[in-house]
Amino acid sequence: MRAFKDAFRSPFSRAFAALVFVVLLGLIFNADGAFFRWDTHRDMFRHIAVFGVIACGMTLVIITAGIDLSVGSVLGFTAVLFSILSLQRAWPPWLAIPGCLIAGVLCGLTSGGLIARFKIQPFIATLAMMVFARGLAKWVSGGQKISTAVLQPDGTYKYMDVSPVFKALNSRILNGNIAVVTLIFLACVLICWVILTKLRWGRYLYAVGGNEEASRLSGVPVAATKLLAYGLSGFFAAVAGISQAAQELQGDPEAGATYELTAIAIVVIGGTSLMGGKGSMGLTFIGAMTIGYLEKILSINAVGEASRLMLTGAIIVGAVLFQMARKR
Amino acid sequence: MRRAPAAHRDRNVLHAEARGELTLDHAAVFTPAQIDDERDTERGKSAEAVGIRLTTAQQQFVEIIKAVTVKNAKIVIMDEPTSSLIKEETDKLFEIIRELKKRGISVIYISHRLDEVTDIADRISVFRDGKNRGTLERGEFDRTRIITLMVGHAVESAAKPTITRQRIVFEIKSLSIRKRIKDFNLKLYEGEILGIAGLRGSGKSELFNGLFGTYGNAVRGSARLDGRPFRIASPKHSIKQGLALQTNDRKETGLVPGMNIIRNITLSSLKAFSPGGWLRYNEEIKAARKQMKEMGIKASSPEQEVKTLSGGNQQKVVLAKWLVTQPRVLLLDEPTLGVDVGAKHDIYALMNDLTAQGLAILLVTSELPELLAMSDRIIALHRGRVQAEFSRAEATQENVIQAAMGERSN
Repeated sequence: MRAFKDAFRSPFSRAFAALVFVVLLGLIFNADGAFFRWDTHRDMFRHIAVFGVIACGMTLVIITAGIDLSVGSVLGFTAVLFSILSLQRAWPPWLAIPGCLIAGVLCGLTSGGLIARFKIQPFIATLAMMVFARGLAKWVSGGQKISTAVLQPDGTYKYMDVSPVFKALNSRILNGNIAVVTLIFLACVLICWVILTKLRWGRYLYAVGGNEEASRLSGVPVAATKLLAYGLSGFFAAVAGISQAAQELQGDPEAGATYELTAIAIVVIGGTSLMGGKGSMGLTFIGAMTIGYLEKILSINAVGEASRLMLTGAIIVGAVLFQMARKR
Repeated sequence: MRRAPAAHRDRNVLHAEARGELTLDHAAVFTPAQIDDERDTERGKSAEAVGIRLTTAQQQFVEIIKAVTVKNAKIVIMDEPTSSLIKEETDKLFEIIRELKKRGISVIYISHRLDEVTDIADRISVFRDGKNRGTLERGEFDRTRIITLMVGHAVESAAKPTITRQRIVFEIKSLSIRKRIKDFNLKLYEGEILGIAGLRGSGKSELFNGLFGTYGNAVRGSARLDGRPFRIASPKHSIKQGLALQTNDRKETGLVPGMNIIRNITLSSLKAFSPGGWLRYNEEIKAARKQMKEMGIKASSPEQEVKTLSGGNQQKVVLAKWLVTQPRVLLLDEPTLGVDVGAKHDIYALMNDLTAQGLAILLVTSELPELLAMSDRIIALHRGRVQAEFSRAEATQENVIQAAMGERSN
């Protein structure tokens, strides 16, 4: 019993236990064997990739004891921007992709600047950015979905070619076994892991989240650290936006609504504390799989949307209570 | 003592009283005004009204009374009960403890304040490193015997090597900080400990924070450190120029409690451990182990979170953090606050070692004997101005206090 308790002391093993629990649910409610098929798992990873990418940036922000509510809107804005640039303006990908990433970073830096320079609470500053970026998405798109069909002055539609970059991002490799967006997600996890564990700035993120005033008095560049966190959050939101546009073959100005909540759920279910100063990419990765499997299991069992939402809410609470049990 | 919401706690006591169980002297707990309030209104309603106005001391008294009446406790354990009490309240607490004793209730009283335990205890057990190092009966114990058990060896009061003033390390000219410090001038010599005496509100902490750049550049005046102009802009700049500040509140402004010892020790010199931005954790571990050994930081591992360390060890971690930055001048604000006797003497020894190596220290402490024992020179601050300066030979408790209170000597 003692050994059992000790095994569940580390946040990592607790996050893992929550994942195992969800997978066990899948083994029981396997929808006539659907859960045992490889493509179910492949689709889960593909489905969770966009959420996982924004959860990467969210992890960095939450470690600084902040929150970024704007990621869903920034995703929508960059998805629209990317579609306009590559589908309608025919920009080459090497221009369109960096352009969208910069747009995302600028959104993040703006929230970060409001928080670091003007001491606006992260919740408020990013709430404002959430509304503002959604407005940007509607403004640049004129409120329309941006697809390959371009309205001509004479009222007819001209169909543009789908940009190869869309096809590439939406494809699978290794005989169709791994989606490119899944690889993008894994790359983002790796990048954030390197930042958090190997770089001085990663240490600063933890220090600022753990005790901001003590960090400042120890010479930590607190404002720059916060700018970095929110800037990177904007960057990953843009990566997610580009991936989303490629998957849907269009830029929807409504895309990404409520995605910030899923990203926060992923981070929290992994065991990263909203109090800041604690957490890791490994936890977020496990959290992404937990949420991913949860949604997959509910969908293969054809649970209706109403019950699905209620069950997801209940299971998130259960998992977080389990995470907190160690603190008693 | 766990703190339940005051109103809730209070209601319990009033219920006990209603059942006729509360027999301790009511007046010892509540001030007359509050008792009147209770009479004025209905009991149930007034419970919350009274609860809100209870001071920390009263809340603690209520807690004790609750323990022995409502819960019928035979043994009451008090862990540092006086940490937030003033003298009169402590006296009142002791009255209550003696009353409990008369009723046959045993009290285990945990404190780091020696005068309190010698005052109230019948027997004293001294704990060090998780072991009982000896139990003394009343009549056997005195300060020195307890301290010897706490430290593990006899302590001689730190003898102070006299220094020869040769080189000025830190020079401050007509410094003004936020209207709290006015026209402050100072010359600090190599290897010197300069004590700053002052009452609360005299501007001691503002002086340190202003110099260190906590307030940014909202500071007027000029300073030179090691012969170079010293620019006050931010803590980061000050650290780079060779200044370090140990603040008087290690939990709020000294440590990142959730990080481990290694990461706290290297926090203010992290650039040196991360060439090109890449952390070299092995070198961090090495530096931390060295500091832990030299300062005698006791922990199960260098990776232990600092919030789980004792006050003394936490303070040593703060000091270690600053020593790794290799400062020329160290600002110490209450270095022994909330620190056990053993660690206190370690810190004194460390200060003397550091000054022997040429470091200069500005010391603020509210413990006058400590100030007199450690300082080569003492200046008294009163309302942001230097009131008087004493050499080590001239300084006495009386004349330093008088100057700190604003009285002009001679």
